[in-house]
Amino acid sequence: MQANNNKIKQRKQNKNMPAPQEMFLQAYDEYAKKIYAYVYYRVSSVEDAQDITSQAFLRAWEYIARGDEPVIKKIGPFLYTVAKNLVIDHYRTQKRTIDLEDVVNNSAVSELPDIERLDIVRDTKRVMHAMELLSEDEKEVLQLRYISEYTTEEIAGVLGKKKNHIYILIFRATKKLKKILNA
Amino acid sequence: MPEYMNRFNIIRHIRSLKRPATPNAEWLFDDRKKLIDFMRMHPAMVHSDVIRKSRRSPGLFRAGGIAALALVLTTTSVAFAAQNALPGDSLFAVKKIMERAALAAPLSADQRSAIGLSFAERRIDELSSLKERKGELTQEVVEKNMLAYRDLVELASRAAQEASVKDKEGALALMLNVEREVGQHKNKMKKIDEKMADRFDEKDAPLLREIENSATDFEIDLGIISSASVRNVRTKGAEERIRGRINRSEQELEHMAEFDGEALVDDLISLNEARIQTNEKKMKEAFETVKKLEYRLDERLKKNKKIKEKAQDQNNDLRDADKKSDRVVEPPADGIEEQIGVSVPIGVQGIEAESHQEGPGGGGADSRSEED
Repeated sequence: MQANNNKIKQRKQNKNMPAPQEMFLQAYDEYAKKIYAYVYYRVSSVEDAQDITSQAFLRAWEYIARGDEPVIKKIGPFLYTVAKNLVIDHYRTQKRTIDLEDVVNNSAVSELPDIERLDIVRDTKRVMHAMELLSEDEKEVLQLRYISEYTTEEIAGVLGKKKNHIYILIFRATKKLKKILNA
Repeated sequence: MPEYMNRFNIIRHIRSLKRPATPNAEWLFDDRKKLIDFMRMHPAMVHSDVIRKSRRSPGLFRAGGIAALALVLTTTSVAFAAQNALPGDSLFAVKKIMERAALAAPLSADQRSAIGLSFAERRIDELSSLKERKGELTQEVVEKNMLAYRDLVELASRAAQEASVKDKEGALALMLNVEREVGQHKNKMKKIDEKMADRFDEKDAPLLREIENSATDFEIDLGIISSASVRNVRTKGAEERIRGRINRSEQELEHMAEFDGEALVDDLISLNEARIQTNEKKMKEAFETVKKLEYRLDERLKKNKKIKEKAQDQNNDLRDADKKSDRVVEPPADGIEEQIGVSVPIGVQGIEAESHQEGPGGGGADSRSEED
C-alpha cells in the first residue's frame, strides 16, 4: 500500500519536472536498487550503501547539470561508474570489513524455519566465500548480472567490453565457481 | 557433506544474495525526495539530449518491437535464409532476433518450454553444421553456444516450474519432456565429440574437453534441472529409502525373533538347570539336617533309655529295700529329669512322656504325691 502511494506521488512529482530532471528521475527509479545492490556487496554496510548510492545520483546530476561535459550515451553504465568511483574512495578512507555472517543473517532468509535457514545460510556463505576467490572482473560480472540484474549489454557498457566477451566471462566465472565449490 | 553445485544451483545462490541487498522502501522514497530538492537547487543548463537512456527499454515494449520486427522478417526471404544461419554468418543475428521474439511473445508454459528446447537443440545442431562446414570449431563459438544452450534449457525448465503452481501433473510431464530432450541433445553432443576425436589430433584436446565437460554437466543437470523434478526425485528417493528402512527393520525383527527364541530356550534350560541344582542342593542339605536330627534323636533316645533303665534299677533297689524295711520310698523322678539336663526335641517329648507313663508305678507315684 505504502509502495503504491509512493509511486502515485512520484508520478505527480515527475509531471512537474522539466525534461532532463524527469529523465533523470526515471533513471533513478530504474537504477537506484541496482546501484544499491552493487554498492552493498562492496561495502557490506546498510548505512554506507545508502550514503554512497545517494551520493552517486547527486554527483551524476551535478555532472549533467553543468552541461559542459560530453553527452552521456547510456545512463545505467554512467551511474554505475560514478558509484564504483565512490566505492573506491570509500575504501581509501575506511578499512574494508565484510562480515559474511551479517550479510546473510540480515537477509529475508532469517525469517525462514531454522533447518531451511541454516541450509540456505550455509550454501550462500559457501558461494560468497568462493566468489572471493574469483578475479575482480569475474566477481563484478557475476554481481552485476545476477545480483544487480544488469543485462549483458549493460554490463558490456559498464566494463567497456564487448557483449560476447561478457558472455564468455560469465560462463568462465560460473565454471570456475563450480570447480571451487566442488573441489 | 555439502551438496554438489551445478551451474543452475550456483546461479540460484548468487541470485539469492540479492535479497539482503534490497534497499529499504522508505529510505528510497526519502532519497528520491532529496534528489528532487537537489535538482531544483541545481537546475540543468542543458537540453534533455544530454542524457540518452540505455538501449534497454521496458520488457513489453522491447518484446513488442522485436516481435514486430520478427513478423516483418519472417515474411521475407531474409527470414527464410536466416533459419539456416550459423554463428559467424551475417544472418545469424537475424536468427537470434527471431528466436527472442518468439520467446518474448505471450505463450503458455508448455509452448515456452517446447520452443526453448527446440532453440536449445538448434545450438547443438549449429555446432555440428559449423564443424562440417569449416572443419573445426573455435573455443569461443563452443563456449557461446553452450552458454546459450544452457540458458534455453534453463528457460524451458523454468517454464515447467511456473506451470507447477497451477498444474503439478502437467508440470511433471513437461519436466520429463525436458529430461528426455536433454538426453537426446546429449547424444548429439557425444556424436560431435566422437567425430572430433576421429578427425583431430591431441592439440585440439581443450575443445574436446570443453564438450566433454558440457556433456558431463548436462548429465548432472538432468537430475536437478528444476526444483519440481528435484522434489520429485527427492520424494521418490525418500520413499525408496523409507521402503528400504522398513524392509531392513522387518528383517532385523525376524532375525531378532529367531535370535530371541534361541536365547529364550537357552535361558529356560539354564534356569531349569539352576533350579534343579538349587533343589538338589537344598534337598541334600535337608537330608543331611534330617540325618543329623535323626542321629541326635537316636542318641538321646539311647541316653534316655539308659537313664530310665538306671532309674528303674534304682526304684527296684528302693522297693526291695522298702520291702525289707516296710517303708515306701518315692522314686527320684525330678532327679532323673535334672540328670538329662537338655531340652527335648519335638517328637521326642511324646516318647519321653510315654517313657514317664511307662515307668512302672512312676506315674502312679507322681499322681499320688501331687494328690498328697
